[in-house]
Amino acid sequence: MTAPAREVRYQPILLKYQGRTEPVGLDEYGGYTAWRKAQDMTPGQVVEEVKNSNLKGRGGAAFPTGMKWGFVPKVEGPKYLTVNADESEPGTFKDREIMETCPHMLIEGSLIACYAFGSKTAFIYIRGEYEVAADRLEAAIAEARQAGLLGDYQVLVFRGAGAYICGEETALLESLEGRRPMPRSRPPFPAVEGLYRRPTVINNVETLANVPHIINNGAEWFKGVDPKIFCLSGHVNRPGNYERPLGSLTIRQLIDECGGGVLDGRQVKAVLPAGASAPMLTADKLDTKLDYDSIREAGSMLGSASFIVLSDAVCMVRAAARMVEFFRNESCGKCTPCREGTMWLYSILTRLEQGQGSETDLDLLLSLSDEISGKVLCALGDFSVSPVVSTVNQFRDEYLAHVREGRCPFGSWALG
Amino acid sequence: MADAPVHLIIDGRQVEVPRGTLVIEAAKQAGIEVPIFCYHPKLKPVGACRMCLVDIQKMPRLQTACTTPVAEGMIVHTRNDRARAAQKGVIELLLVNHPLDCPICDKGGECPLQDNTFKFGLGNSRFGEPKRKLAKALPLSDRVVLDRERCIMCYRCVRFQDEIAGDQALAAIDRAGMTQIGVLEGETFDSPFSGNTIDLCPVGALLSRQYRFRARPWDLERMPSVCVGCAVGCNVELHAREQALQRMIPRENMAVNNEWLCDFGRFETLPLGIERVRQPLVHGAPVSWQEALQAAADLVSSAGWKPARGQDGHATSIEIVASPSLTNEALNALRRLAADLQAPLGVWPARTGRVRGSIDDLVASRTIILLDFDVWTELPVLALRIREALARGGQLFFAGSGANGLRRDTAASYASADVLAHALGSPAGPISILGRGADELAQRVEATGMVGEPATAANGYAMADLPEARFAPATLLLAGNENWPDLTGKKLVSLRWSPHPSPLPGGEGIVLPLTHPYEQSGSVTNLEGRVQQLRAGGGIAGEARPDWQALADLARALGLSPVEEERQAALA
Repeated sequence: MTAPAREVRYQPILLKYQGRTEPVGLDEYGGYTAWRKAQDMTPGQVVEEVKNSNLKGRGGAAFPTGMKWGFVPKVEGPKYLTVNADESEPGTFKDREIMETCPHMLIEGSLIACYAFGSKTAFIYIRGEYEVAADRLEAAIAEARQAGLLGDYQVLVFRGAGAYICGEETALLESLEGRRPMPRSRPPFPAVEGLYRRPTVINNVETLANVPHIINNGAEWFKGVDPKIFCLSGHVNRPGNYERPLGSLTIRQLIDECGGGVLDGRQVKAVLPAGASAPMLTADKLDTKLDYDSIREAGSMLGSASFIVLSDAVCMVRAAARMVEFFRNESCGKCTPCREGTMWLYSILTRLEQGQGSETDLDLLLSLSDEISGKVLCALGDFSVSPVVSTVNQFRDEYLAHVREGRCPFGSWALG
Repeated sequence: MADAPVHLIIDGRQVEVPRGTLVIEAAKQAGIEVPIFCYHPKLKPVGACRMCLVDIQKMPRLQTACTTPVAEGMIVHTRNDRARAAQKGVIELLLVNHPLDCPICDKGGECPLQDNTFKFGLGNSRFGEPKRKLAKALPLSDRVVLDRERCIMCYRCVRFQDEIAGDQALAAIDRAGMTQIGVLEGETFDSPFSGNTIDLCPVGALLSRQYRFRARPWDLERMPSVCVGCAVGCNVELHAREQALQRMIPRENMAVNNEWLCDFGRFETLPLGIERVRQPLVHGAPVSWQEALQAAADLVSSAGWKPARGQDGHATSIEIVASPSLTNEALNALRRLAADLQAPLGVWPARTGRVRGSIDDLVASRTIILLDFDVWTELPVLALRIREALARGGQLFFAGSGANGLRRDTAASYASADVLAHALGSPAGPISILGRGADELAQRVEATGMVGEPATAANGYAMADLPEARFAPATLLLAGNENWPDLTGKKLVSLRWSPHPSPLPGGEGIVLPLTHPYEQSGSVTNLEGRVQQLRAGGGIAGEARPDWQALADLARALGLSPVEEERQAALA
């Protein structure tokens, strides 16, 4: 069975320069035509255009970008754009490729965003491990400034120190201010009181990379394309970033056509659509279309669109344990349920995986997940129970096999 | 014009509160207890512990009552099934890594974690994994010890040092389940306010090294009194076990100390582990009160009775010296004695002074000027009250070259009051000015707040009219527990509660044992002129007598009438 072939091969927009080993320079990029065009519009018109494009935040929450800009109060004094380039969700590596191949696209998008809501300063908060991307951004900013494109705007690169929590926008702001990254209580929302207690917009890299194309080609054009980068990893033959219009293909097509099928010719057991953070989808959901609504209806979230494919060689108990271990390590330590709960969940899961668990542990896992989910300040705690709840519910038999056999039926540490 | 009040319903009760009130405070007003750990009314809310989760209608998620402001028509359930389940869950999770070593924990009996567990917890535990182990009793300083296993990460201590003390002495270290309270590399927990973190800690994680293992809370007798460490007059509670003082904690008084106490007051003014004078001494030999009083009367009579007179009519052969920490009652007795003997009365050390305006006025100031006055060292809790004024938008200026412990909070420093006055022009009012020369500057800038050079000793306000003692005559009556200067060759009657640190050269004189200020009643007047009452919080050492009583006895031995005695006895 084959999927209907697309008539014209899709030309990537965000990853136009995919595969380059050197970043695209200012001349080849095209000299910030959208930035020039935007400055001939009123800020209100720019916001309207982006609103009309229906661009949704690509960091995971899919909040309408134009609306976010529109929330910024029209007050005197400084306002800030903060670019979330902390890209730390497991299996997510799309922003990195944008920044490494075409840093100017992000810088141009950032300038347009600044103009739209009245900021003169953009901070690009980039994860510390992205040294190449950070260097290339800094070089590109210097190049743009040299060319007189920045005017009185400032674009600054700030390197993080490697904490997952810094992807959470208020923790990111704390870190940017020089403090320990712990999420803030909302309200006040960052749009009103964010960085240095000033109105602040926080946008993802991929979100902003779309903005120059919207300004250049118009909202109507964008609605017809709606480009999205899908990060494909795990048990596939060709992992990598694949840019396609939202809703133009299914999970199965992403795995087979883009990823060259499952590794070692095995079957898919589950797919994680948003790194470790969203509930996993079982093999019967592979024909789900890749757009926000379809994935939600299938019982998960598109999130950052980081597809991690797990083949049938994977022990789901071990997989759940490994993912919870990640959250246990990355919890900032502020909220009780996340800090203590992830430790406890991990203890139970490792015990189960080693064949030392009991059936009542499964109820305990679900009950504990309920004590964490929805009781915490930020999404990390909510995310941390996703792998637990979805594996206990969808792969209960595997858990019970561990209990029954007193060992891991897959052989311990099957995932790595 | 004030905003219209907000109406809401909490657990079926109608509540009316000002706009901006937090749900937790509205619940408190309605008499509903929502369990808390990280929330503290004096600290900014953080929503960390999640203990106060409540169910608010129309909100899909449970909300922390400590971070949610009220809204008109809000309907809050603090005890419905959803809220109770969440509260039980948080208690369960707080306890999974808590050692539950209550029987050997100082906090046991006054521990919010115990109380909330009883009131809001599950009653049992489903946790069967090994607990997190960390070395116990980690000293953070000479005064405070940390048990990281007991810590529940409410960050109250970190927030206190950051927001109230302003020295950021504590920090959270590491992350996730290994997050710990500690001091950053190269730093020390030497804050002069560190003891407050012990009071704020809702578990037995931060403990006083002085008080550790000395008592159980239910064995303590508690007596409200006043700290005599300085002239602020912080309100305190004295805790004694079997008549022996064990510790001192602050009491809230918004007009004086808010609810803070400095480490000097808390740890150094308590008579713990200090040698005491338990018996009257004459030339080093223990004698009865009667003998000692007779000897003292003889000495004073020979010097002061029918004495040689100076030009001012005062005796030149005797001087009465008051410590500025004596009670008002003792001071009155001394004034009477001095009048009767026509002997000069002086104060030493002269840590006296008077200001106009109150601490309230200081906290309400928009501009505060320190004229070479190190309030951080001299009157520590007053420095915290100044920080309150700054948090409300006030500005602090400093003139002079001396120490300024509030340097971090100072908007600008100037070489002298003149330069400052010139630079500031007409600063925003109300204005408070503390230090030498305050009155002159106050006239120039029309200061209406607290103005003057404040007393720094406990009762220095009441003695502001006394001259500094000269120690010139051959016979001296020394009242109070001061480290007197070199008094070689003098004849001494000394009233004190601990032996003089260095043997007084004339110290083979007469010593009358006094009670410690925390073992007697009496009153002291704080730097703003507020008269506050001392109460006996612990038993009396040996044959010691309160300062005012000992002076009355001495007057009687001299054949004078101790007019104040009856009133003072009634006061006791």
